[in-house]
Amino acid sequence: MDTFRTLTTGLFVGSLIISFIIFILLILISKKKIHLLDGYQDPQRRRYLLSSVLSMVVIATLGLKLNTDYLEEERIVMCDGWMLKQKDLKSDACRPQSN
Amino acid sequence: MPVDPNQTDEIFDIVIIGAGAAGITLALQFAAAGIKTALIEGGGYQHSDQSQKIYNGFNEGLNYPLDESRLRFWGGSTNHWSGWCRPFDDKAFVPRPSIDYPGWSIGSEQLSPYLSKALDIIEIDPASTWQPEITHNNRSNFYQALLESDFNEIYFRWSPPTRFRYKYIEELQQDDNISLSVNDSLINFEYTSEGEILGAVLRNLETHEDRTVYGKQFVLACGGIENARLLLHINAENDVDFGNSSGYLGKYFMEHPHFYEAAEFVMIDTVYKHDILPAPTAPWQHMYRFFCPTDNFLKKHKILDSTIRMRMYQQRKAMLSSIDGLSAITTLSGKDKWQAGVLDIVVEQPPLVTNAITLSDETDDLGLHKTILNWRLTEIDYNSTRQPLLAFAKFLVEADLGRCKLASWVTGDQEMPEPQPGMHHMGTTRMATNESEGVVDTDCKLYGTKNLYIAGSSVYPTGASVNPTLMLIQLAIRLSEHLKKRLSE
Repeated sequence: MDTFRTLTTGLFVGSLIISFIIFILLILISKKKIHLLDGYQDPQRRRYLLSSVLSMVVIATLGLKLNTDYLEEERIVMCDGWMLKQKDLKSDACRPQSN
Repeated sequence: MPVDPNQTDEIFDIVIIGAGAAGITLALQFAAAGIKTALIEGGGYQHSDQSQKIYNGFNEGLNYPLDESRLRFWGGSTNHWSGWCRPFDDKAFVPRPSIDYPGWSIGSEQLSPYLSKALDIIEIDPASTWQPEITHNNRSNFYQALLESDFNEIYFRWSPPTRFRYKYIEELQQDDNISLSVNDSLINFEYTSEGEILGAVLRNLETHEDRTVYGKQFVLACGGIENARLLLHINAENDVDFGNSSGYLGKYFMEHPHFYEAAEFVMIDTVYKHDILPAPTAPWQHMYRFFCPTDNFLKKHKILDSTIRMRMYQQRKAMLSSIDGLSAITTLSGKDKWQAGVLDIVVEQPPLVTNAITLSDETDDLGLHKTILNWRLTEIDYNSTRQPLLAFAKFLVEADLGRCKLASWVTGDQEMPEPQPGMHHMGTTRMATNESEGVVDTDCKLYGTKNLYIAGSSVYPTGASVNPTLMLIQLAIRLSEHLKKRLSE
Protein backbone atom coordinates (compact mmCIF):
# COMPACT_ATOMS: atom_id res chain seq x y z
CA MET A 1 0.00 0.00 0.00
CA ASP A 2 1.53 3.34 -0.94
CA THR A 3 1.96 6.34 1.35
CA PHE A 4 -1.04 8.35 0.21
CA ARG A 5 -3.39 5.43 0.49
CA THR A 6 -2.01 4.58 3.94
CA LEU A 7 -2.43 8.18 5.06
CA THR A 8 -6.00 8.57 3.88
CA THR A 9 -7.00 5.18 5.22
CA GLY A 10 -5.41 6.13 8.55
CA LEU A 11 -7.25 9.43 8.54
CA PHE A 12 -10.57 7.73 7.93
CA VAL A 13 -10.17 4.92 10.45
CA GLY A 14 -8.41 7.08 13.07
CA SER A 15 -11.02 9.84 12.95
CA LEU A 16 -13.84 7.35 13.20
CA ILE A 17 -12.29 5.69 16.24
CA ILE A 18 -11.65 9.03 17.97
CA SER A 19 -15.17 10.28 17.28
CA PHE A 20 -16.60 7.00 18.54
CA ILE A 21 -14.56 7.22 21.75
CA ILE A 22 -15.64 10.84 22.38
CA PHE A 23 -19.21 9.90 21.65
CA ILE A 24 -19.08 7.07 24.20
CA LEU A 25 -17.51 9.44 26.69
CA LEU A 26 -20.34 11.89 26.09
CA ILE A 27 -22.93 9.22 26.88
CA LEU A 28 -21.05 8.14 29.98
CA ILE A 29 -20.74 11.77 31.13
CA SER A 30 -24.44 12.38 30.60
CA LYS A 31 -25.23 9.31 32.68
CA LYS A 32 -22.73 10.47 35.33
CA LYS A 33 -20.80 7.21 35.18
CA ILE A 34 -17.32 8.81 35.23
CA HIS A 35 -16.88 11.10 38.20
CA LEU A 36 -13.43 12.21 37.04
CA LEU A 37 -15.19 13.96 34.13
CA ASP A 38 -17.95 15.55 36.21
CA GLY A 39 -16.58 18.92 35.12
CA TYR A 40 -17.97 18.14 31.65
CA GLN A 41 -21.53 18.17 33.01
CA ASP A 42 -21.40 21.79 32.02
CA PRO A 43 -23.61 22.06 28.87
CA GLN A 44 -21.10 24.42 27.24
CA ARG A 45 -18.29 21.85 27.60
CA ARG A 46 -20.56 19.07 26.37
CA ARG A 47 -21.28 21.12 23.27
CA TYR A 48 -17.51 21.34 22.67
CA LEU A 49 -17.28 17.57 22.90
CA LEU A 50 -20.23 17.11 20.60
CA SER A 51 -18.76 19.47 18.02
CA SER A 52 -15.44 17.62 18.21
CA VAL A 53 -17.34 14.39 17.46
CA LEU A 54 -18.89 16.04 14.44
CA SER A 55 -15.50 17.39 13.33
CA MET A 56 -14.01 13.95 13.54
CA VAL A 57 -16.86 12.54 11.45
CA VAL A 58 -16.23 15.24 8.84
CA ILE A 59 -12.49 14.43 8.81
CA ALA A 60 -13.28 10.70 8.49
CA THR A 61 -15.59 11.45 5.56
CA LEU A 62 -12.88 13.53 3.94
CA GLY A 63 -10.36 10.70 4.43
CA LEU A 64 -12.79 8.24 2.87
CA LYS A 65 -13.45 10.52 -0.06
CA LEU A 66 -9.76 11.08 -0.72
CA ASN A 67 -9.16 7.36 -0.45
CA THR A 68 -11.90 6.35 -2.87
CA ASP A 69 -10.93 9.10 -5.32
CA TYR A 70 -7.38 7.88 -5.17
CA LEU A 71 -8.41 4.28 -5.74
CA GLU A 72 -10.51 5.38 -8.69
CA GLU A 73 -7.57 7.31 -10.14
CA GLU A 74 -5.30 4.30 -9.67
CA ARG A 75 -7.79 1.88 -11.19
CA ILE A 76 -6.28 0.02 -14.14
CA VAL A 77 -8.17 0.49 -17.38
CA MET A 78 -7.72 -0.72 -20.92
CA CYS A 79 -7.80 2.02 -23.49
CA ASP A 80 -7.16 1.41 -27.17
CA GLY A 81 -4.92 -1.53 -26.33
CA TRP A 82 -3.04 0.38 -23.64
CA MET A 83 -3.08 -0.80 -20.07
CA LEU A 84 -3.27 2.51 -18.22
CA LYS A 85 -4.56 4.01 -15.02
CA GLN A 86 -7.78 5.99 -14.82
CA LYS A 87 -5.80 9.14 -14.03
CA ASP A 88 -4.03 8.88 -17.37
CA LEU A 89 -7.32 9.32 -19.15
CA LYS A 90 -7.50 12.95 -18.01
CA SER A 91 -5.13 13.66 -20.81
CA ASP A 92 -6.84 13.96 -24.19
CA ALA A 93 -3.97 12.14 -25.83
CA CYS A 94 -4.74 9.03 -23.84
CA ARG A 95 -8.28 8.67 -25.08
CA PRO A 96 -8.93 6.20 -27.87
CA GLN A 97 -8.10 7.77 -31.18
CA SER A 98 -11.24 6.33 -32.71
CA ASN A 99 -13.26 8.68 -30.49
CA MET B 1 18.22 -57.36 -38.55
CA PRO B 2 18.70 -60.34 -36.16
CA VAL B 3 22.13 -62.06 -36.43
CA ASP B 4 24.27 -64.73 -34.89
CA PRO B 5 25.67 -63.35 -31.60
CA ASN B 6 28.91 -65.28 -32.08
CA GLN B 7 29.83 -63.28 -35.14
CA THR B 8 33.24 -61.67 -34.62
CA ASP B 9 34.73 -58.44 -35.88
CA GLU B 10 36.39 -55.39 -34.34
CA ILE B 11 34.25 -54.58 -31.36
CA PHE B 12 34.21 -51.11 -29.82
CA ASP B 13 33.42 -50.60 -26.16
CA ILE B 14 31.04 -47.83 -27.10
CA VAL B 15 29.46 -46.91 -30.42
CA ILE B 16 28.03 -43.39 -30.49
CA ILE B 17 25.78 -42.54 -33.40
CA GLY B 18 25.57 -38.81 -33.93
CA ALA B 19 28.34 -36.23 -33.48
CA GLY B 20 26.39 -33.30 -32.09
CA ALA B 21 26.53 -31.75 -28.63
CA ALA B 22 25.52 -34.97 -26.83
CA GLY B 23 27.60 -37.37 -28.94
CA ILE B 24 30.77 -35.28 -28.77
CA THR B 25 30.34 -34.74 -25.02
CA LEU B 26 30.09 -38.51 -24.55
CA ALA B 27 33.14 -39.12 -26.76
CA LEU B 28 35.17 -36.59 -24.76
CA GLN B 29 34.34 -38.42 -21.53
CA PHE B 30 35.26 -41.82 -22.98
CA ALA B 31 38.45 -40.46 -24.52
CA ALA B 32 39.51 -39.16 -21.12
CA ALA B 33 38.81 -42.60 -19.63
CA GLY B 34 40.70 -44.48 -22.36
CA ILE B 35 37.61 -46.31 -23.59
CA LYS B 36 37.62 -47.58 -27.17
CA THR B 37 34.86 -45.60 -28.85
CA ALA B 38 33.45 -45.17 -32.34
CA LEU B 39 31.87 -41.77 -33.01
CA ILE B 40 29.80 -41.93 -36.16
CA GLU B 41 28.31 -38.94 -37.95
CA GLY B 42 25.77 -39.14 -40.75
CA GLY B 43 26.92 -35.89 -42.35
CA GLY B 44 30.40 -34.76 -43.29
CA TYR B 45 32.88 -32.48 -41.54
CA GLN B 46 31.35 -29.57 -43.43
CA HIS B 47 27.80 -28.66 -44.36
CA SER B 48 26.48 -30.19 -47.57
CA ASP B 49 23.07 -29.87 -49.19
CA GLN B 50 23.05 -33.60 -49.88
CA SER B 51 23.30 -34.42 -46.19
CA GLN B 52 21.06 -31.61 -44.97
CA LYS B 53 18.32 -32.79 -47.33
CA ILE B 54 17.98 -35.95 -45.22
CA TYR B 55 16.25 -33.77 -42.62
CA ASN B 56 13.43 -32.75 -44.96
CA GLY B 57 10.03 -33.86 -43.79
CA PHE B 58 6.37 -32.93 -43.60
CA ASN B 59 4.19 -30.97 -41.21
CA GLU B 60 0.71 -31.96 -40.18
CA GLY B 61 0.17 -29.24 -37.62
CA LEU B 62 1.83 -25.86 -37.34
CA ASN B 63 4.47 -25.03 -39.87
CA TYR B 64 7.79 -26.28 -38.50
CA PRO B 65 11.15 -25.92 -40.26
CA LEU B 66 12.26 -29.55 -40.00
CA ASP B 67 15.30 -29.03 -42.19
CA GLU B 68 16.44 -25.58 -41.04
CA SER B 69 15.97 -26.12 -37.34
CA ARG B 70 18.87 -28.56 -37.06
CA LEU B 71 22.14 -29.19 -38.87
CA ARG B 72 23.36 -32.51 -40.21
CA PHE B 73 27.16 -32.40 -40.13
CA TRP B 74 29.96 -32.75 -37.61
CA GLY B 75 29.07 -30.71 -34.51
CA GLY B 76 25.37 -30.97 -35.31
CA SER B 77 23.19 -28.05 -34.31
CA THR B 78 25.98 -26.53 -32.20
CA ASN B 79 27.04 -25.14 -35.58
CA HIS B 80 24.20 -22.63 -35.38
CA TRP B 81 23.12 -22.43 -31.75
CA SER B 82 23.09 -19.03 -30.13
CA GLY B 83 24.58 -20.08 -26.78
CA TRP B 84 21.77 -19.30 -24.30
CA CYS B 85 22.23 -21.38 -21.16
CA ARG B 86 20.47 -21.96 -17.90
CA PRO B 87 19.97 -25.13 -15.85
CA PHE B 88 16.39 -26.35 -15.49
CA ASP B 89 14.70 -25.05 -12.35
CA ASP B 90 13.47 -27.57 -9.78
CA LYS B 91 9.84 -26.99 -10.75
CA ALA B 92 10.42 -28.73 -14.11
CA PHE B 93 11.17 -31.97 -12.25
CA VAL B 94 8.14 -32.00 -9.96
CA PRO B 95 4.85 -33.58 -11.16
CA ARG B 96 1.68 -31.47 -11.16
CA PRO B 97 -1.21 -33.94 -11.49
CA SER B 98 -3.81 -31.15 -11.81
CA ILE B 99 -2.52 -30.33 -15.29
CA ASP B 100 -1.10 -33.78 -16.24
CA TYR B 101 2.44 -32.47 -15.83
CA PRO B 102 4.62 -35.54 -15.34
CA GLY B 103 7.80 -34.04 -13.90
CA TRP B 104 10.95 -36.12 -14.22
CA SER B 105 11.68 -39.64 -12.96
CA ILE B 106 14.97 -38.30 -11.63
CA GLY B 107 15.46 -35.23 -9.47
CA SER B 108 17.58 -32.20 -10.23
CA GLU B 109 20.02 -33.45 -7.57
CA GLN B 110 20.95 -36.29 -9.95
CA LEU B 111 22.01 -33.80 -12.60
CA SER B 112 23.56 -30.97 -10.59
CA PRO B 113 26.84 -32.92 -9.96
CA TYR B 114 27.48 -32.70 -13.71
CA LEU B 115 26.71 -29.00 -14.10
CA SER B 116 30.22 -27.77 -13.55
CA LYS B 117 31.72 -30.14 -16.12
CA ALA B 118 28.96 -29.31 -18.60
CA LEU B 119 29.63 -25.58 -18.25
CA ASP B 120 33.31 -26.18 -18.80
CA ILE B 121 32.53 -27.97 -22.10
CA ILE B 122 30.54 -25.00 -23.38
CA GLU B 123 33.11 -22.50 -22.11
CA ILE B 124 31.12 -20.91 -19.35
CA ASP B 125 33.01 -20.22 -16.15
CA PRO B 126 31.76 -22.98 -13.80
CA ALA B 127 32.32 -20.67 -10.84
CA SER B 128 29.83 -18.17 -12.21
CA THR B 129 26.54 -17.66 -10.45
CA TRP B 130 23.02 -17.96 -11.83
CA GLN B 131 21.55 -15.48 -9.37
CA PRO B 132 23.83 -12.52 -8.73
CA GLU B 133 23.64 -10.96 -5.32
CA ILE B 134 22.43 -7.45 -5.87
CA THR B 135 22.50 -5.47 -2.66
CA HIS B 136 19.52 -3.47 -1.52
CA ASN B 137 21.36 -0.24 -2.26
CA ASN B 138 21.97 -1.30 -5.82
CA ARG B 139 18.35 -2.14 -6.50
CA SER B 140 16.10 0.21 -8.37
CA ASN B 141 12.44 0.93 -7.71
CA PHE B 142 11.69 -1.67 -10.34
CA TYR B 143 13.13 -4.47 -8.24
CA GLN B 144 11.64 -3.28 -5.02
CA ALA B 145 8.25 -3.61 -6.75
CA LEU B 146 9.23 -6.92 -8.33
CA LEU B 147 9.78 -8.47 -4.90
CA GLU B 148 6.07 -8.01 -4.16
CA SER B 149 4.90 -9.16 -7.59
CA ASP B 150 3.97 -12.52 -9.12
CA PHE B 151 7.35 -12.70 -10.88
CA ASN B 152 10.90 -13.75 -10.13
CA GLU B 153 13.95 -12.56 -11.95
CA ILE B 154 16.08 -15.27 -13.51
CA TYR B 155 19.37 -15.02 -15.33
CA PHE B 156 20.76 -16.69 -18.43
CA ARG B 157 24.41 -17.03 -19.30
CA TRP B 158 25.88 -17.25 -22.74
CA SER B 159 28.28 -19.74 -24.19
CA PRO B 160 30.54 -17.95 -26.77
CA PRO B 161 28.73 -20.08 -28.35
CA THR B 162 31.00 -23.11 -28.45
CA ARG B 163 31.15 -24.59 -31.95
CA PHE B 164 31.88 -28.24 -31.12
CA ARG B 165 33.09 -28.82 -34.66
CA TYR B 166 36.10 -26.52 -34.20
CA LYS B 167 36.58 -26.80 -30.47
CA TYR B 168 36.84 -30.56 -30.06
CA ILE B 169 37.65 -32.11 -33.43
CA GLU B 170 41.44 -32.11 -33.05
CA GLU B 171 41.30 -33.50 -29.54
CA LEU B 172 39.15 -36.40 -30.71
CA GLN B 173 41.03 -36.97 -33.98
CA GLN B 174 44.31 -37.28 -32.11
CA ASP B 175 42.99 -39.67 -29.48
CA ASP B 176 43.98 -43.28 -30.25
CA ASN B 177 40.91 -44.64 -28.50
CA ILE B 178 38.44 -42.65 -30.56
CA SER B 179 37.53 -43.70 -34.08
CA LEU B 180 35.70 -41.03 -36.06
CA SER B 181 33.69 -41.61 -39.18
CA VAL B 182 31.58 -39.28 -41.28
CA ASN B 183 28.91 -39.65 -43.95
CA ASP B 184 27.83 -42.89 -42.32
CA SER B 185 24.16 -42.94 -41.45
CA LEU B 186 22.46 -45.43 -39.21
CA ILE B 187 19.89 -47.44 -41.13
CA ASN B 188 19.47 -50.50 -38.93
CA PHE B 189 20.79 -52.52 -35.99
CA GLU B 190 22.01 -56.07 -35.76
CA TYR B 191 20.62 -57.57 -32.59
CA THR B 192 19.87 -60.81 -30.80
CA SER B 193 16.39 -62.04 -30.03
CA GLU B 194 17.01 -60.96 -26.39
CA GLY B 195 17.30 -57.35 -27.49
CA GLU B 196 21.06 -57.06 -27.26
CA ILE B 197 22.38 -54.74 -29.94
CA LEU B 198 25.48 -56.14 -31.62
CA GLY B 199 26.10 -53.78 -34.46
CA ALA B 200 24.98 -50.57 -36.07
CA VAL B 201 24.34 -50.92 -39.80
CA LEU B 202 25.56 -47.79 -41.56
CA ARG B 203 24.95 -46.59 -45.09
CA ASN B 204 27.41 -44.23 -46.72
CA LEU B 205 25.70 -41.14 -48.02
CA GLU B 206 27.92 -40.85 -51.08
CA THR B 207 28.59 -44.47 -52.10
CA HIS B 208 25.40 -45.97 -50.64
CA GLU B 209 27.50 -48.90 -49.45
CA ASP B 210 26.57 -50.52 -46.16
CA ARG B 211 28.84 -51.61 -43.34
CA THR B 212 28.35 -52.65 -39.75
CA VAL B 213 30.13 -51.29 -36.69
CA TYR B 214 30.11 -53.62 -33.70
CA GLY B 215 30.16 -52.62 -30.07
CA LYS B 216 29.32 -53.53 -26.50
CA GLN B 217 27.22 -50.48 -25.72
CA PHE B 218 25.44 -48.21 -28.19
CA VAL B 219 24.29 -44.63 -27.83
CA LEU B 220 21.91 -42.96 -30.23
CA ALA B 221 22.58 -39.21 -30.12
CA CYS B 222 21.06 -37.84 -33.32
CA GLY B 223 18.81 -35.13 -31.89
CA GLY B 224 15.30 -34.65 -30.54
CA ILE B 225 13.55 -35.50 -33.81
CA GLU B 226 16.00 -37.87 -35.48
CA ASN B 227 16.37 -40.23 -32.51
CA ALA B 228 12.66 -41.03 -32.69
CA ARG B 229 12.57 -41.15 -36.48
CA LEU B 230 15.46 -43.63 -36.71
CA LEU B 231 13.99 -45.89 -34.03
CA LEU B 232 10.55 -45.80 -35.64
CA HIS B 233 12.13 -46.67 -38.99
CA ILE B 234 14.24 -49.51 -37.58
CA ASN B 235 11.26 -50.89 -35.65
CA ALA B 236 9.16 -50.84 -38.82
CA GLU B 237 11.90 -52.44 -40.91
CA ASN B 238 12.38 -55.32 -38.46
CA ASP B 239 8.82 -55.57 -37.19
CA VAL B 240 9.99 -55.06 -33.60
CA ASP B 241 8.97 -52.61 -30.89
CA PHE B 242 12.23 -51.40 -29.34
CA GLY B 243 11.33 -48.71 -26.83
CA ASN B 244 7.77 -48.68 -28.00
CA SER B 245 5.81 -51.15 -25.91
CA SER B 246 4.10 -48.07 -24.44
CA GLY B 247 3.32 -46.78 -27.93
CA TYR B 248 4.99 -43.51 -26.91
CA LEU B 249 8.00 -43.60 -29.23
CA GLY B 250 7.88 -40.37 -31.23
CA LYS B 251 5.09 -38.96 -29.05
CA TYR B 252 5.20 -36.02 -26.61
CA PHE B 253 7.17 -33.75 -28.91
CA MET B 254 7.73 -30.42 -27.16
CA GLU B 255 9.05 -27.07 -28.28
CA HIS B 256 9.44 -23.65 -26.74
CA PRO B 257 6.97 -21.44 -28.59
CA HIS B 258 8.34 -17.89 -28.85
CA PHE B 259 6.00 -14.92 -29.13
CA TYR B 260 7.83 -11.73 -29.98
CA GLU B 261 6.56 -8.20 -29.39
CA ALA B 262 3.58 -9.32 -27.35
CA ALA B 263 3.42 -5.87 -25.79
CA GLU B 264 5.06 -2.50 -26.14
CA PHE B 265 5.91 -0.57 -23.02
CA VAL B 266 7.08 2.85 -22.02
CA MET B 267 8.86 3.34 -18.72
CA ILE B 268 10.39 6.13 -16.76
CA ASP B 269 14.00 5.73 -17.79
CA THR B 270 15.39 5.62 -14.27
CA VAL B 271 13.42 2.69 -12.91
CA TYR B 272 15.15 -0.20 -14.65
CA LYS B 273 18.80 0.49 -15.13
CA HIS B 274 20.18 1.01 -11.67
CA ASP B 275 20.92 -2.60 -10.83
CA ILE B 276 24.57 -3.43 -10.81
CA LEU B 277 25.34 -6.88 -12.18
CA PRO B 278 28.65 -8.69 -11.71
CA ALA B 279 31.28 -7.71 -14.26
CA PRO B 280 31.70 -10.33 -17.01
CA THR B 281 34.84 -12.43 -16.77
CA ALA B 282 34.98 -12.80 -20.57
CA PRO B 283 33.32 -10.82 -23.35
CA TRP B 284 30.47 -13.33 -23.66
CA GLN B 285 30.11 -13.99 -19.94
CA HIS B 286 27.55 -11.29 -19.32
CA MET B 287 24.21 -12.19 -17.79
CA TYR B 288 20.82 -11.66 -19.32
CA ARG B 289 17.81 -11.05 -17.14
CA PHE B 290 14.35 -12.57 -17.64
CA PHE B 291 11.22 -12.73 -15.54
CA CYS B 292 9.24 -15.86 -14.84
CA PRO B 293 5.98 -16.37 -12.92
CA THR B 294 6.19 -17.58 -9.34
CA ASP B 295 5.18 -21.14 -8.49
CA ASN B 296 2.05 -19.83 -6.78
CA PHE B 297 1.01 -17.96 -9.91
CA LEU B 298 1.48 -21.08 -12.04
CA LYS B 299 -0.56 -23.18 -9.64
CA LYS B 300 -3.30 -20.58 -9.26
CA HIS B 301 -3.81 -20.24 -13.01
CA LYS B 302 -3.05 -23.91 -13.83
CA ILE B 303 -0.51 -22.96 -16.43
CA LEU B 304 3.04 -23.92 -17.37
CA ASP B 305 6.23 -21.95 -16.97
CA SER B 306 7.34 -19.09 -19.15
CA THR B 307 10.08 -16.49 -19.36
CA ILE B 308 9.41 -12.88 -20.23
CA ARG B 309 12.08 -10.65 -21.67
CA MET B 310 12.02 -6.85 -21.58
CA ARG B 311 13.72 -5.87 -24.80
CA MET B 312 14.64 -2.20 -24.75
CA TYR B 313 14.59 -0.15 -27.90
CA GLN B 314 17.89 1.54 -28.56
CA GLN B 315 16.19 4.37 -30.40
CA ARG B 316 13.25 5.24 -28.21
CA LYS B 317 11.39 7.23 -30.82
CA ALA B 318 11.69 4.61 -33.51
CA MET B 319 9.11 2.15 -32.42
CA LEU B 320 5.74 2.79 -30.90
CA SER B 321 2.78 1.76 -32.98
CA SER B 322 0.87 4.69 -31.48
CA ILE B 323 1.96 7.35 -29.06
CA ASP B 324 -1.23 7.72 -27.08
CA GLY B 325 0.39 6.23 -23.98
CA LEU B 326 3.27 8.64 -24.00
CA SER B 327 1.51 11.52 -22.33
CA ALA B 328 0.62 9.13 -19.53
CA ILE B 329 4.22 8.22 -18.94
CA THR B 330 5.49 11.76 -19.30
CA THR B 331 2.84 12.89 -16.82
CA LEU B 332 3.95 10.10 -14.55
CA SER B 333 7.61 10.99 -14.66
CA GLY B 334 6.92 14.68 -14.54
CA LYS B 335 9.36 15.22 -17.37
CA ASP B 336 10.12 13.93 -20.80
CA LYS B 337 12.37 11.11 -19.61
CA TRP B 338 11.28 7.73 -20.75
CA GLN B 339 12.46 4.65 -22.51
CA ALA B 340 10.53 2.08 -24.47
CA GLY B 341 10.69 -1.51 -25.59
CA VAL B 342 8.75 -4.70 -26.10
CA LEU B 343 7.91 -7.80 -24.13
CA ASP B 344 8.80 -11.17 -25.63
CA ILE B 345 7.73 -14.44 -24.07
CA VAL B 346 8.97 -18.03 -24.31
CA VAL B 347 6.56 -20.67 -23.06
CA GLU B 348 6.93 -24.19 -21.75
CA GLN B 349 4.77 -26.67 -23.63
CA PRO B 350 2.80 -29.46 -22.00
CA PRO B 351 3.91 -32.93 -23.08
CA LEU B 352 0.98 -34.09 -25.23
CA VAL B 353 0.65 -37.49 -26.82
CA THR B 354 -0.86 -35.85 -29.90
CA ASN B 355 2.24 -33.76 -30.62
CA ALA B 356 4.18 -36.50 -32.34
CA ILE B 357 6.59 -37.69 -34.96
CA THR B 358 5.44 -40.39 -37.35
CA LEU B 359 6.86 -41.81 -40.57
CA SER B 360 5.89 -40.87 -44.08
CA ASP B 361 5.67 -43.45 -46.85
CA GLU B 362 8.12 -41.30 -48.77
CA THR B 363 11.79 -42.13 -48.27
CA ASP B 364 14.96 -40.05 -48.43
CA ASP B 365 18.25 -40.69 -50.31
CA LEU B 366 19.25 -43.26 -47.69
CA GLY B 367 16.01 -45.18 -47.99
CA LEU B 368 14.78 -43.99 -44.58
CA HIS B 369 11.16 -43.00 -44.15
CA LYS B 370 10.81 -39.24 -43.90
CA THR B 371 9.51 -37.49 -40.79
CA ILE B 372 5.98 -36.24 -40.36
CA LEU B 373 5.70 -33.81 -37.46
CA ASN B 374 2.36 -33.01 -35.90
CA TRP B 375 2.96 -29.98 -33.70
CA ARG B 376 0.05 -27.96 -32.36
CA LEU B 377 -0.72 -25.59 -29.52
CA THR B 378 -3.63 -26.15 -27.15
CA GLU B 379 -5.58 -24.06 -24.66
CA ILE B 380 -2.99 -24.51 -21.92
CA ASP B 381 -0.30 -23.13 -24.27
CA TYR B 382 -2.46 -20.07 -24.91
CA ASN B 383 -3.18 -19.54 -21.21
CA SER B 384 0.46 -20.06 -20.31
CA THR B 385 1.27 -17.25 -22.74
CA ARG B 386 -1.51 -14.77 -22.07
CA GLN B 387 -1.81 -14.92 -18.29
CA PRO B 388 1.81 -14.05 -17.48
CA LEU B 389 1.85 -11.27 -20.08
CA LEU B 390 -1.30 -9.69 -18.65
CA ALA B 391 0.04 -10.04 -15.12
CA PHE B 392 3.43 -8.58 -16.03
CA ALA B 393 1.84 -5.61 -17.76
CA LYS B 394 -0.35 -5.11 -14.69
CA PHE B 395 2.71 -5.23 -12.46
CA LEU B 396 4.38 -2.46 -14.48
CA VAL B 397 1.28 -0.28 -14.49
CA GLU B 398 0.17 -0.90 -10.90
CA ALA B 399 3.58 0.03 -9.50
CA ASP B 400 3.65 3.12 -11.76
CA LEU B 401 6.81 1.88 -13.39
CA GLY B 402 5.41 2.34 -16.85
CA ARG B 403 2.50 1.73 -19.19
CA CYS B 404 1.89 -1.12 -21.65
CA LYS B 405 0.22 -1.56 -24.98
CA LEU B 406 -0.76 -5.18 -25.34
CA ALA B 407 -1.09 -6.96 -28.65
CA SER B 408 -4.71 -7.69 -29.41
CA TRP B 409 -4.13 -11.45 -29.15
CA VAL B 410 -2.92 -10.98 -25.57
CA THR B 411 -6.13 -9.24 -24.54
CA GLY B 412 -8.15 -11.94 -26.27
CA ASP B 413 -9.52 -9.63 -28.96
CA GLN B 414 -7.85 -11.68 -31.67
CA GLU B 415 -6.78 -15.27 -32.21
CA MET B 416 -3.29 -16.24 -31.05
CA PRO B 417 -0.74 -15.93 -33.86
CA GLU B 418 1.45 -18.85 -34.89
CA PRO B 419 4.47 -18.91 -32.61
CA GLN B 420 8.04 -18.94 -33.75
CA PRO B 421 9.66 -22.19 -32.67
CA GLY B 422 12.80 -22.03 -30.58
CA MET B 423 14.31 -24.86 -32.64
CA HIS B 424 14.33 -26.89 -29.44
CA HIS B 425 13.20 -30.46 -30.11
CA MET B 426 12.33 -32.40 -26.99
CA GLY B 427 10.40 -35.31 -25.60
CA THR B 428 10.08 -37.89 -28.38
CA THR B 429 11.85 -40.67 -26.46
CA ARG B 430 10.66 -39.66 -23.01
CA MET B 431 12.18 -40.97 -19.81
CA ALA B 432 9.97 -42.89 -17.39
CA THR B 433 10.40 -45.32 -14.50
CA ASN B 434 8.59 -48.12 -16.33
CA GLU B 435 8.12 -49.09 -19.92
CA SER B 436 4.37 -48.62 -19.90
CA GLU B 437 4.91 -44.87 -19.42
CA GLY B 438 7.96 -44.09 -21.48
CA VAL B 439 10.63 -45.02 -23.98
CA VAL B 440 13.86 -44.94 -21.96
CA ASP B 441 14.55 -45.74 -18.32
CA THR B 442 16.16 -43.40 -15.80
CA ASP B 443 19.61 -44.36 -17.11
CA CYS B 444 18.43 -43.41 -20.62
CA LYS B 445 18.50 -47.06 -21.76
CA LEU B 446 15.91 -47.85 -24.41
CA TYR B 447 13.24 -50.19 -23.04
CA GLY B 448 13.24 -53.54 -24.81
CA THR B 449 16.97 -53.48 -25.42
CA LYS B 450 19.93 -54.46 -23.26
CA ASN B 451 22.55 -52.00 -24.41
CA LEU B 452 21.08 -49.19 -26.49
CA TYR B 453 21.00 -45.77 -24.85
CA ILE B 454 19.55 -42.47 -25.98
CA ALA B 455 21.36 -39.16 -25.47
CA GLY B 456 19.91 -35.74 -26.08
CA SER B 457 16.82 -33.69 -25.47
CA SER B 458 14.51 -36.40 -26.81
CA VAL B 459 14.52 -38.03 -23.35
CA TYR B 460 13.10 -34.94 -21.58
CA PRO B 461 9.71 -35.70 -20.02
CA THR B 462 9.19 -31.92 -19.57
CA GLY B 463 10.98 -29.10 -21.29
CA ALA B 464 10.88 -26.20 -18.78
CA SER B 465 11.00 -22.77 -20.40
CA VAL B 466 14.75 -22.51 -20.80
CA ASN B 467 17.08 -23.60 -23.57
CA PRO B 468 17.77 -27.34 -23.67
CA THR B 469 21.48 -27.54 -24.59
CA LEU B 470 23.04 -27.26 -21.15
CA MET B 471 20.69 -29.91 -19.76
CA LEU B 472 21.45 -32.37 -22.57
CA ILE B 473 25.17 -32.00 -21.92
CA GLN B 474 24.60 -32.65 -18.21
CA LEU B 475 22.60 -35.74 -19.13
CA ALA B 476 25.29 -36.93 -21.55
CA ILE B 477 27.97 -36.69 -18.86
CA ARG B 478 25.69 -38.57 -16.46
CA LEU B 479 25.16 -41.24 -19.12
CA SER B 480 28.91 -41.54 -19.69
CA GLU B 481 29.40 -42.22 -15.97
CA HIS B 482 26.76 -44.95 -16.10
CA LEU B 483 28.31 -46.55 -19.18
CA LYS B 484 31.79 -46.49 -17.66
CA LYS B 485 30.39 -48.40 -14.70
CA ARG B 486 28.68 -50.91 -16.97
CA LEU B 487 31.87 -51.51 -18.92
CA SER B 488 33.83 -52.11 -15.75
CA GLU B 489 31.33 -54.70 -14.47
